[in-house]
Amino acid sequence: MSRRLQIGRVASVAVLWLLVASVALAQTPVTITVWDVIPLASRDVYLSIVEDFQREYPHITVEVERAGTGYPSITEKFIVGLMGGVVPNVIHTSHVRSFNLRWQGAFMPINDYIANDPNMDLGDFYPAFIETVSLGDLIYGVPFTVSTPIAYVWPETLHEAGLPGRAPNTWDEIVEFSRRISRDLDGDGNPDMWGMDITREPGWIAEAFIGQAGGSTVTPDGRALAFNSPEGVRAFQFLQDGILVDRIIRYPGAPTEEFYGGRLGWAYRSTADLPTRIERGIEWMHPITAGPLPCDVQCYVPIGGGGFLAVDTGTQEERDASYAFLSFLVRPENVAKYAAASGYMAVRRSALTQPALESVLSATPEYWVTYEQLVYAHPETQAPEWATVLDLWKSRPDFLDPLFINKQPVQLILDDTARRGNAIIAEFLAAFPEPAHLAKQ
Amino acid sequence: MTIHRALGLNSIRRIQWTVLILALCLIPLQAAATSSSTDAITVTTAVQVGSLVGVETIPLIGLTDNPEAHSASAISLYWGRDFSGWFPTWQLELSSSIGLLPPSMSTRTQDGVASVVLARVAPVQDRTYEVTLSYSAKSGSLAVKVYDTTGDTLVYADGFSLPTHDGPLYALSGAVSTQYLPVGTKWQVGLTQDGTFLPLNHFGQRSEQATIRLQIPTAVDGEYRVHHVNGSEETLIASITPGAGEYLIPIDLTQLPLGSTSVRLDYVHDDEILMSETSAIVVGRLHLWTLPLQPDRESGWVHSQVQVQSSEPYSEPIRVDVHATLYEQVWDPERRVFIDVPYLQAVVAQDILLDLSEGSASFPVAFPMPDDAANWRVEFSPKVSPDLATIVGGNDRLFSSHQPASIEAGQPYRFVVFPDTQNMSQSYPTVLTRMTDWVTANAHELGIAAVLHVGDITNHDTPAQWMNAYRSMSLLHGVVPYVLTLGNHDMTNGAGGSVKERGLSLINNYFSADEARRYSGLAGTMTPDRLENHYHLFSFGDDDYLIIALEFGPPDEALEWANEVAQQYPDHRFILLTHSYTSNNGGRSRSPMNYELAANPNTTVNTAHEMWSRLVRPNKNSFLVISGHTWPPVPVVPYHVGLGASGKPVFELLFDWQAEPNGGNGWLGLLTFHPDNRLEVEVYSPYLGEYARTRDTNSFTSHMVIDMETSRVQRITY
Repeated sequence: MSRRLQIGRVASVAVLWLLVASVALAQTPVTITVWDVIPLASRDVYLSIVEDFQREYPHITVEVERAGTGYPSITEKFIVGLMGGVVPNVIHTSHVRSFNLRWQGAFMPINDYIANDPNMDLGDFYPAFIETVSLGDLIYGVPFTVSTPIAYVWPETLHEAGLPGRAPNTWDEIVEFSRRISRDLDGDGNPDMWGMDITREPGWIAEAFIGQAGGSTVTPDGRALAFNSPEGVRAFQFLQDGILVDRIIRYPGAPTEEFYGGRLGWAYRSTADLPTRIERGIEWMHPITAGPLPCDVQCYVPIGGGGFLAVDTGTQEERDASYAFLSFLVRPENVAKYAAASGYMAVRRSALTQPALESVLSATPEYWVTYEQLVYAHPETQAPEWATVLDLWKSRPDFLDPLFINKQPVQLILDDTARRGNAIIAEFLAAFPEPAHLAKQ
Repeated sequence: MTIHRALGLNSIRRIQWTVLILALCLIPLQAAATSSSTDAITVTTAVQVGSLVGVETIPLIGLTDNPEAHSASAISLYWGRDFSGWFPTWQLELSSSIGLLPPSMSTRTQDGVASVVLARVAPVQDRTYEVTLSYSAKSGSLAVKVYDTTGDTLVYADGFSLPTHDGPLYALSGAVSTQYLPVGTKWQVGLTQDGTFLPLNHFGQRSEQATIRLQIPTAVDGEYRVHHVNGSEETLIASITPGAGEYLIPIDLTQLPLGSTSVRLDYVHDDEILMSETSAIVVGRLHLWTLPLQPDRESGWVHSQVQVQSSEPYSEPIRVDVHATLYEQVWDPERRVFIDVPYLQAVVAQDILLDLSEGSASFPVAFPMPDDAANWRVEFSPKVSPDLATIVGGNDRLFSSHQPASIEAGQPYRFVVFPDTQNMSQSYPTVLTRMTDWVTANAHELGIAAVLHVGDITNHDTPAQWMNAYRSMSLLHGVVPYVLTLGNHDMTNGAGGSVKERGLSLINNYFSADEARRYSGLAGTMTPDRLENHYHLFSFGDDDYLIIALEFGPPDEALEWANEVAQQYPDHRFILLTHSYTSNNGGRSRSPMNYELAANPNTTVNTAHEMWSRLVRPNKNSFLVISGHTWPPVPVVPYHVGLGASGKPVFELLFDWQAEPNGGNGWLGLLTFHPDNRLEVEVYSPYLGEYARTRDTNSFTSHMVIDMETSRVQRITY
């Protein structure tokens, strides 16, 4: 058989299969609800992908709802919905926020669907991304809004201080670069320019520093907290000293007018806003470029963000439709389209060679930074109740103010927070000692 | 190898390899493989990178052992895309089909061609790269360098030991020389501290340990020489017989002159300089700060002062010229931006000799105020000799040469009320500048007597927001006096609006009592020279005014002080300016009680109710209360008319539109005092160029006329 004939036969079979499948599906109209918190800046692109899905699957009606202002609120709404029996078929939330729900069995495993889906080659996905929507061997969704922190850099500010126009590579460089950039512009005794800043709730940046110090937020089995280890203390001490002793790190983070007004040497923020930040840097006449996170005893980059998960609910038709939606979202061309528009990472390799993304990557080297960091990347903490512990980290009176404003002993604050966090984890584990799918076995 | 240190020297900045190939014959080749060498060969070429979509290989430079060949069979340097990992990336690769690869590196072979990966670096579309490859067939040394000439950045440089090669090698393209050049050597000027090297080329203090870091990948014949170059003077710092390794060459900054000089690295072979590279180094750093301008209408001059601080005391003479560039600021109503129209450049201080033996100095600058009535932006640019590193602050200032109002008795005149401008100071500084721009430009024609700001001048009480606010408000200096009051957002030293204690506001770092006395009729402050609570005296036509500004939820002592002041001026119309007073429904607000400040045992808090009963109502001269803090849904002016102890009405007006787009859309209140005792209140936006014509659900309007005799208020609707 000639190669052309072979291809023709394969194509015919494929077309036939598609026809059969589409006719079968067309006979069962179905509606699914999808909750998301896609950022407004890139939501149009997401909605256009949903429209494309509707065109391809006319029998599936997707009711899209922006169900919160961020991952915490959508997750809260989802939990309330679970208790009241009103949940969407698909939810977009962060992998930190979804961990407990994965553990408790709120989501539908999609392994069998994936196994029979020619569009879903798991080898095409970066393994750590799949981890963020899985628990053990079970996969519950697809990663979509995945990001890492990167350094946004103002080369002119660095050059003005006689420094190379790049982000610091090490903690030592952070200190030395910052000392040369920080200054009091108006003579009032307070710094008005800083090497870098730390946002009000540093969450994953703090986790990055702990990792760079060689530590971890939780124990290897994920069942207890470990951020009060010597490495964790060293990381927070480094930040506290930069903020309060050397006064070279701005805390809380620079507001818009300072961020874009050239008051920082660099700033660690999500890659998700990269196109906007570069554009605004030009508008504000303080051009911004990008660079990697620093390293200390090791390099360490947390992978944050979220994905779309299939909720364990609905009829079989709804479940099939939910999976079809997830599969469509992460088709290479859709992943490329969304990543190019938003700055979020492309979650699968083949998307990177799609023209939509490849042209952006070729012309804007800043896009590469997040991918080049992957060699040091780890998913943000995946452990029971980590989202609740993160909320403890957001407490101003108990955590942030003592550490970064009132200069309380770092070890004391971390120990106290870890003690309270461990109690929360223990309570959760007492109620749910094992992940739901293991408990069922 | 040895390091012969001749003199301490200083650092590097950008490491642009300016490969000076002196006394070498560069032969640009038109055809492939026509230039050969049996000993050494160096090829340099420029590569322009186009679209990378679908591209998997970018050839950069190559050598062949076959003069008829059109491919680089001997050594080829190229960018190749690597699909082996999860993330398809680019890497610089070296290949050879005759075994000319570094034996120590992991080799991959495909179709008989072996290759090694040099580095994972990516090309960037639309950039040009200068690529140099140098190979010594006799010693086996290979040096490679890729320089991004578009971005002025070294992309890659390194050297390797390869097998030696017998027979000629030919360059495929580029400029060729028959010398080996160690272009893979890297060097930087920087600072060594606690064993850490920090790349740096400005040194504020001569005690800093300046160092040159020289990284030599492979041993070569010849030597490296490091010179300090100051004009035509050259001083040898060190010479190194190069073995492979990293060298830290200390530089004694005390031996260097202040200012910018350079360090040069030469590669010398047989007494011939084959390669040379220069890097700037700057010793000494000055911080120059121009103080706020003082426009003096009487003398026709604008004065200021430049303060200078050095990183350490300098005994050398340092001279400064300051150049000023003056731009007329012209508002473009279509695009809603200011256009800078260049007006003149001038030297405003010349050949000033600074005495920095104590580490600081100052000197005056002055320039004549332009005859044209306009608003101006001035940029100061200091030129320091010798040319030390400078940090310049306060060099972008505004001033106005518009005519102030000339208010005669019997003529109408206006007060302008600025609402909460916090969002403008934070994110829309142009809108606030447009407001003061319009006020100054119309001061004379409209008879604008004063500007009253209701507080929340900033959103977070941060230096950057105060600097924005000051910059805009300073345009009023010498044209329209203004009165400020502190809102809750101005009192927290960076913490937003959650005011907990008093005395934290940064206002006094930016707006000074001296300036308020000079330009705005400041007559007294509750605390010496502090603007938290203060009063101003004005006379417009036949009317005398006392304006007392009290901070958000003023304490008991402020009310007592204000009472004393009000009683001193019984014939002045007393206006109370305070941030929180009238609610958006027209009532008197208790808002300050909702803040932690109210629970602070170290102070007391008074709301509108206490201010009314303890200050406004008892004083017979009470006339107006102007406030902000809470906003109506549309740009209207909520109000209330109270009856003072004397039986006269007191008009309490609210001005706040902070929730409007663009930080408030530039809406301001216009109070016109008509000679027939009518007070007309309007809302206008110079940013939008329109009057508000709105009405809210409480029937408050954006235009009303108050009969101050009868206290009848006519709300005008459209």
